[in-house]
Amino acid sequence: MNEFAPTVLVPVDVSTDERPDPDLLDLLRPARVVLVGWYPVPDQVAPEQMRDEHEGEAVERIENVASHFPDGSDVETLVVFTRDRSETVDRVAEEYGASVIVVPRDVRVVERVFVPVRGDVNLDRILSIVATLLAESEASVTLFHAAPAGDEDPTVGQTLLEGAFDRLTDAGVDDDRIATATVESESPVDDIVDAARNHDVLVIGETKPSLIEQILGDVPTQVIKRSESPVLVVRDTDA
Amino acid sequence: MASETETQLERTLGLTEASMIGVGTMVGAGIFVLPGSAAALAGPASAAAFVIAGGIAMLTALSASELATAMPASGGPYHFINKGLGPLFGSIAGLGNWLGLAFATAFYAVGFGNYVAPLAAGLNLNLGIVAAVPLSGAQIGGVVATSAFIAVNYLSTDGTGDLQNVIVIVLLAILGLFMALGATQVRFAELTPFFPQATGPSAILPTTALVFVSYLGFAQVATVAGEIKEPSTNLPRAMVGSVLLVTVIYAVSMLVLLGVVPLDRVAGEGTAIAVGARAVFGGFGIGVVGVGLLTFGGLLATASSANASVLSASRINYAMGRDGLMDQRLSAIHDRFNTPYRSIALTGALILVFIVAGRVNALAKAGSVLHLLVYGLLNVSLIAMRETEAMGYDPGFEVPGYPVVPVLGALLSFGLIGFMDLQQILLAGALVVAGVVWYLAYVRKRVEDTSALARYRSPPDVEVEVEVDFDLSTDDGATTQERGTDV
Repeated sequence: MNEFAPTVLVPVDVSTDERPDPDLLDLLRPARVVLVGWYPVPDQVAPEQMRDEHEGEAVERIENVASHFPDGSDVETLVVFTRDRSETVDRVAEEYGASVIVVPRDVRVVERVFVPVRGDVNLDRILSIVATLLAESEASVTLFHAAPAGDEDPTVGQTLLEGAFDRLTDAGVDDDRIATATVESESPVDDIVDAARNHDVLVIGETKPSLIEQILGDVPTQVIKRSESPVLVVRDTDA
Repeated sequence: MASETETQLERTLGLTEASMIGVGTMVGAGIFVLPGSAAALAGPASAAAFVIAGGIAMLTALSASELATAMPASGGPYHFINKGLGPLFGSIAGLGNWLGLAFATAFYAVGFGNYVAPLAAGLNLNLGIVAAVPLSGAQIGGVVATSAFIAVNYLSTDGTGDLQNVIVIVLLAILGLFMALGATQVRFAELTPFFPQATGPSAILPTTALVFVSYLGFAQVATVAGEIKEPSTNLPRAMVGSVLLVTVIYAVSMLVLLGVVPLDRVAGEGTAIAVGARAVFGGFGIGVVGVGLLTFGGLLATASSANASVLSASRINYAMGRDGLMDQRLSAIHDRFNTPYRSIALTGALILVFIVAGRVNALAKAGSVLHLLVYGLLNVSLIAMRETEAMGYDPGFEVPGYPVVPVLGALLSFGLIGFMDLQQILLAGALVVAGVVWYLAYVRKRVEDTSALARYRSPPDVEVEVEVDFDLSTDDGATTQERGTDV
């Protein structure tokens, strides 16, 4: 097991039969996985009562999900009864030092990974995680930069992507597995979601949203909402 | 199966959210329903009655904080009493707390109806219902509103918690505006004589008994102790802070109301604060806006109080079922709605009966008297926990000034019952009898008494004693204690 293995948090709604796709799990093989089975607690019911009634079923479901991971995976399981899923995900990620949060969705085979690149501080961490995950798979990766139209010198994006390309090849990813694309964009979210459409997994960085983004929804949040693929959200843990 | 999966309960409430629960449940009745009745009894001195009632609530809030940080489980006051004094008192407290909430909710609902009735009449919505049914417009409004709360909670709605926060903030803003504008117009002549001429200061305590119902929400904070982050600091702050804030709001509003409007225009008035708003905002030429705002506030406040109480009542049913004091089928969760539907439906039915049968002041006092009984026992339970050095009792917050606070809390809570009407004193007596009968007929053969008091009177045999006595680990800094998941 790689000692630099990122800790990846996979939340699963254990009140339903939801279960992350085995192919996605395969991609996570190099990581240490924390499987959080969260069970929603409605306002009308005390959390203890939900636990009394559903603990067995919740534990059984999450352990069932864990048993579908490939042999040799490092998986921990946890069940949390919560009124607020995102609060639980944040707290557990903090407690376990998780650097990536998975938004699980159906996936066919993970062959193409999509990484929208922005000039954020988180980029190093995103790339090192992508490199680790790709080490044990054959998947290819697209590094994508959407430059706000007219707002930016086109060479900035190009330089950003070249740097990212070099980081991945330095980390041992073959250069023929890496593609780069940059586009001048009126609406980055639309273009990211469009370009990601023929990929299987997205890796995006969490950023602290600005005030206006908190109201309108920041780019990562909107991408997660609109994309149909599973998303690995890399946390901004320095924040 | 032998499982390695840990199960956790998420704590989602910070100090603000916890305080909002307390304030949101409390603020309402004292300002939107009772000022008219209180003014009729005690005149401007009713502000003092609000302060005294707040003080009594404060003592119990301190005790409840200690108990809740030691035993953060659903059920609130009932749970603490059951653990401290055993299932006999647990039966009395459980029934008292549950029915007390039903009475209080009926009272809030009629108060809500008081605000709806004139609106409905104004819109010609009466449609002759009032003539056909022997109920007042306020009662009809209360029945309709209660049915709506029950339906919403029966079917489960998510996000009512967030809505509650918005409601409380809007309410506080409206009340703040009313107090600030009103304070500039108070005529001190209106506030004299401070005591009513007929009765003098002796009117204060019966008024305190009447208005105590407007403080019933603070214990709701204790019922969610298990969901509060860093409970040993946040829980006492939320409880004490919300009682303090609400006391100030009630007392100041009362003084503003009576300083602006002549006493005889608000005495006995169901929506006295709307009369006050017309005068206060009228001074700035926006009387209609003021009446609209305060009416809106009245609807929000009574609705949020009623809603919170319905939820609390079902927590008590659950906790009693868990402890074997009531049939667990009552608190079963609905497969589809995921709500304790039977408990909600039964509580709702009780509330409707109380609305139809009772008058607003009688409902207020019935709600208060049962809660006072419970609060008195709660303080006694704290004393029992401390004096018996109950095993595993390790509160994160300790009542300052022990034993004065719980002793006073118990005496004043029980004592205030004496200032109720005979009808409600009999109700309290009947409830005690009902609790004893319930204990003898149902509880005694099912439940073993493992309370602090019972263990003290007959300590368990040494060989069955498997728990560690935490009191031994004093100064070695070892603070990690094994504690069962359910306390």
